[in-house]
Amino acid sequence: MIVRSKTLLMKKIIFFFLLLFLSTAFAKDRVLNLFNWAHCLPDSVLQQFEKETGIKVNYSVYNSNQALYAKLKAGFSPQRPSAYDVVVPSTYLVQRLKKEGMLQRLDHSKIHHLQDLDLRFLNLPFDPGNQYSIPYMWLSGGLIVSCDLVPQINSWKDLWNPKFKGKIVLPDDVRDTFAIAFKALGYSINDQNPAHIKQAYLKLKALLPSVIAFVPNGTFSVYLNHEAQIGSLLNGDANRVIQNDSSFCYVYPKEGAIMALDNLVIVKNSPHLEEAYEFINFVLRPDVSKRIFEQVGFSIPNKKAIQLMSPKERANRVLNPLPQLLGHSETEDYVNDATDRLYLNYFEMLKNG
Amino acid sequence: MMNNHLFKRFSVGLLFLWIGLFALLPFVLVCLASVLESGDTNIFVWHFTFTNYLQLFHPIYFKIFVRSLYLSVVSCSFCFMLGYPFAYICSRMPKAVKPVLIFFLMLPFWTSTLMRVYSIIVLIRGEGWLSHLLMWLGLIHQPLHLLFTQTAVLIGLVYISLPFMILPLYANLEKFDWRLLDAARDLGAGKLRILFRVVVPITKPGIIAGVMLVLLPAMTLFYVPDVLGGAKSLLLGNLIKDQFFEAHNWPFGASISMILTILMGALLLFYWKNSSEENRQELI
Repeated sequence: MIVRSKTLLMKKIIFFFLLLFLSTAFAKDRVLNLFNWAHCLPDSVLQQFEKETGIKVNYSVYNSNQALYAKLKAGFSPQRPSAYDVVVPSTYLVQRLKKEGMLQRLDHSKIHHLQDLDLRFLNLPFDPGNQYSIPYMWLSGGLIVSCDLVPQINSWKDLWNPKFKGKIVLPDDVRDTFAIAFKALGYSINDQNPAHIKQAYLKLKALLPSVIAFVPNGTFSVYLNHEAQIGSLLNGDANRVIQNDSSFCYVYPKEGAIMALDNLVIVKNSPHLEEAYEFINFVLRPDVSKRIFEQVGFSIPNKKAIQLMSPKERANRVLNPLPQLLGHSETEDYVNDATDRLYLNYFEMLKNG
Repeated sequence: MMNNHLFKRFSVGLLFLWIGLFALLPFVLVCLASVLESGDTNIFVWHFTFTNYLQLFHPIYFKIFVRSLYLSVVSCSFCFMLGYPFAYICSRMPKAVKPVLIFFLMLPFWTSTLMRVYSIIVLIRGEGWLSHLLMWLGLIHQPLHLLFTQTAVLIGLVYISLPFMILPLYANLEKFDWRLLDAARDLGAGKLRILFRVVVPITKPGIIAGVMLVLLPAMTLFYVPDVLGGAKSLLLGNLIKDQFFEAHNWPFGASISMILTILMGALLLFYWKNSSEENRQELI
């Protein structure tokens, strides 16, 4: 008897766990699988979306375009429904995903509020006509500088001033670091000419004695701890540093900033197309966009939302720079794998001396 | 009785299934990936090749490998120099104290390694505690320049690996028959002679086990040079990560990790050949 009741109990337990697994698979509610940058969508906005639309959002986050691509690619098959519906890649990744047939072409008639977006962020070379992507937020790579050094810095070239030895931090990102050298040399940050890439490598090698560390994008403790006085930093992160420590200033170098633009895209074979469009429309709404701006602290490409901001927020020149400061800015665009690997080779050589 | 038998089979079967599914299968996949070509739009192209392995002989990868090996050999030696005396003293402690010491050794495992590496920054940065302490003691007059240096990377590697060196050593020294020391002394051996001719040879399996748990794994701790070394030097782990994430060259990344696996296998084989049956039992 005891034996039988034991196996019965075992069966019950197994049945319970099976039920638990299956219950998630067979749920019939409206669902959206959203994969976004960490800390780029406030919880309250997500809750409001769920409440207004009744759509349940499965929200997961990543920390780099590389991580997004690796996860997306590993689980993607042209025959099967995709695991994610909406993702938010940066410019060059939009191009790569488009090229690899992993994006859904957008139906603009289903997207409202497109006219509210700033024309400077639309129809850019990485996605002409915004056929596949809608800008979500933007960041500019400029220079964060200890305010007392500001008179000596207004160009990317000024980093090579030997006075700044042991004061500079560079981004631990191949493209972002090479972009600095390209800007200083007067080339496009998307240069694919091997001779130019080598030139940029040598230029960076000359900068190395001034560099104390390569840090991941979004690291600002090195400034707050006064380990570094100068660094290439995204304006949103720089704004946070300056709010904590007003001895730092932000400089948009005269050759132009390195623009990073994160874009809403729908993954090919998305099983929840309707919900995906509803989400895109929701975050493009000026009131929602403004709340995202306030809580995340990154710049937004939404003109209407900027009008809704308080005068103080609008006057923040780190996050809302005057148009002329972004004049020569470029976005990082896709380069082919061979060039990508060449960049990486030089970057590894740079780090390994 | 019957039920007990069934339970045994079930649990052992589950274990095998688990290892097969999450250790053996991924290994076979990595092995397969390492002999494929990477495609332009697909991760793999079904074309067998050994170029991934030949690529490893490129001077810069060789340089990274040598540097990486150097860092892990140095940190492994430090671990040994710190770990052996600790394990020795620990095993000679009274019975009541031993578990407490081992408890403190295990305590850090309750927190994520990455978190602990980040907290080292707080200690060693220019305006950190260590710097303040040394300045207060008058030992240094300038803020400490330790963060983002090779030394900081070594500190991190030694810190993470130390318990993995101590535990097998301790397990070995615990079983040591201390009467052998008396015998050696009676036969006229000095203290150093006893240590090097009696204690060390008998605990050799523990030493080898410790070295195996530290030497190669240290080469893969890519986040240590990234966080503490300012990403200015690369370990083999960084190289693998870069190939997967940056270069989209999964086959090459797979071939580098295969090399690591082969090295580990070679070390295990070396150990197997150089140890007796009973010593093997201890390692396992």
